Amino acid sequence: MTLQASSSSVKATTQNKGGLASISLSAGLMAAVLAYPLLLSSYQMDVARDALIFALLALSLDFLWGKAGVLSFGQAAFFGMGAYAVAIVGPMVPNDNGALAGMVTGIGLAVLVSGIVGYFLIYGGVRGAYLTIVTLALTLIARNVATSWASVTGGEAGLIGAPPPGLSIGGWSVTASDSVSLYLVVAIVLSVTLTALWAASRGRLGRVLTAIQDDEAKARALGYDTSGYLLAVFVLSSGLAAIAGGLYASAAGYVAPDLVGLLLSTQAIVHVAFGGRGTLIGPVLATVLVIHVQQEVSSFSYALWPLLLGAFFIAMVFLFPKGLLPLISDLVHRLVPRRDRGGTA
Amino acid sequence: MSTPLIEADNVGVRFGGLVAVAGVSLSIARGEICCIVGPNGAGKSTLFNVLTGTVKPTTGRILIDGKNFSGRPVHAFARRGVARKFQAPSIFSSLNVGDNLRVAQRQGSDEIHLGEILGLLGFSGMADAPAGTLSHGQKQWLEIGMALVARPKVLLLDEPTAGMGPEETMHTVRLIQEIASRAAVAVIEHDMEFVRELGVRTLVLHQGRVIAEGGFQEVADDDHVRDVYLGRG
Ligand SMILES: Nc1ncnc2c1ncn2[C@@H]1O[C@H](COP(=O)(O)OP(=O)(O)O)[C@@H](O)[C@H]1O
Ligand SMILES: [Mg+2]
Repeated sequence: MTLQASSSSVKATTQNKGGLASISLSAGLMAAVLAYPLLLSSYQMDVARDALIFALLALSLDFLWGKAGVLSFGQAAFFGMGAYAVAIVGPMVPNDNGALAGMVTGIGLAVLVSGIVGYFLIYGGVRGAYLTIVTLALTLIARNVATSWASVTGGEAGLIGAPPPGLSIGGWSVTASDSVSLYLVVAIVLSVTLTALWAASRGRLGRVLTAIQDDEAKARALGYDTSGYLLAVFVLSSGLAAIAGGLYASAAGYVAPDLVGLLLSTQAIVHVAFGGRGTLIGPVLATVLVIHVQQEVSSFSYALWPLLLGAFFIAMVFLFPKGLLPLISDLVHRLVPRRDRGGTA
Repeated sequence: MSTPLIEADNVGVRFGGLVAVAGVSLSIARGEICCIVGPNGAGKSTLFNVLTGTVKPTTGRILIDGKNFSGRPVHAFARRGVARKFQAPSIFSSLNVGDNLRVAQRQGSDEIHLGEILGLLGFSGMADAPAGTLSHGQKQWLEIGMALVARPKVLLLDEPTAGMGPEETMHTVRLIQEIASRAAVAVIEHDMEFVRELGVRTLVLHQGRVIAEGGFQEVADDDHVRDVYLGRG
């Protein structure tokens, strides 16, 4: 046992000495990734915008899966609620507030559904694979509603006419309808969400969630209402997925049931696994990267992409199962000689 | 007479056809230490599970400060000041030592108290060590520390010296004696040396029943106890 940790005072928290450097590095990288598409054509900017929306969806999942340990296939269902709410409610609202009203409706619906379903499951003691299977069912049901309730959802054809993001108060109004402003709206929502989740996970909440992932029975014995924590994270994650869906419909101007299927949920899971579960920024960067590569490959050969993706993930499971970000920080740690880190050398 | 801190009133627990605890009454008063001994499968851990709300009793009641807690959720017991150390060391191995204690310090944060507990455990300067790298004995102590840092009224320790050598065991005895000034303590123990060393009120559990209760020597001299337990050990 060589536990010196000499310089550590009692005050020192989870984060190590490299904390500040890696925070500024991540922030810089994120800023570069967000700013770069502004230099591109408006078509490419639209593609990048959609990538950021899917990154937001991946982020919502990472908060649930990475931070609270609940693997969910339900993100597509909540994404769909947000998207359809904007496409259905949006056009009914006058002035430029349609998208906002739809978004609020979608978030409300997602919170309500996840709250009710989550309450009975989580307080009922359902965990792990069983919980995951129920979330899978949620997405299947949502897909079914989107295709069969044609009078409201437009059925297979979907709906057009979802209003762009906007706000009007009294006589003053603003809408984001060109590529640049749409991109900026999405980039801002993503940055704010990422920062907020990161800040929330750093302190007490992150500690408690880690504890629950490690040993829920112990956390409960310490006096935590662990089901309450898991439910809160589940509801928040669902609300964020609804925001992503709302942004998608609002920016694209339409929704279709294709969007709301298991494929979307699976993609989000893949992006989180690829980026590094629990790292928050990792899944965001991974989504952007994967969609970018997908674009390149698909323009070259359409059939190649699924093959490549499959091969890549099999390789990943063997080579870097924890994801990209942990792999990179591992490499950095190996290359940069470590000063006394007070560990088992 | 003041109300006991925690009281099991004629508690019975069945798992299907198996009777794990059969009508046990036990009360722990402020400032008291007591020991619970008995052969494997006697129902000791199950009794603790009932006292902490993890297992709902099939019959009988649990009173904390005179209030009926039967059927309340686990976290409600903890918030009322009942802390426990599990039989298998349960610490959060993804967190460091300091954060294990911080999580355990559910309400607010009191870094001074935390530092004091680190000192008490002999962990000064180890706040940043990953808890997963601690030795088995250190994990047991950390878990005791996690129970203490929340300033509990009652501390239930399930086999705190399991897997410890004689030196570590003696350190644990001293630790428990220290703790007694802070909280009432009930200890489940296998190690008779430990129980003798502690020298406190001792209950012997056998097949879910209390078969003897009293000072260590008194219990150790009991013929029935010798038959079912000490004779074999
Ligand atoms: N959750 C459970 N389900 C079924 N049987 C259990 C459970 N917990 C304990 N038991 C049984 O109850 C009896 C008492 O167990 P326990 O309280 O762990 O004994 P001790 O701690 O005294 O060794 C044992 O026969 C054990 O197998
Ligand atoms: Mg036991």
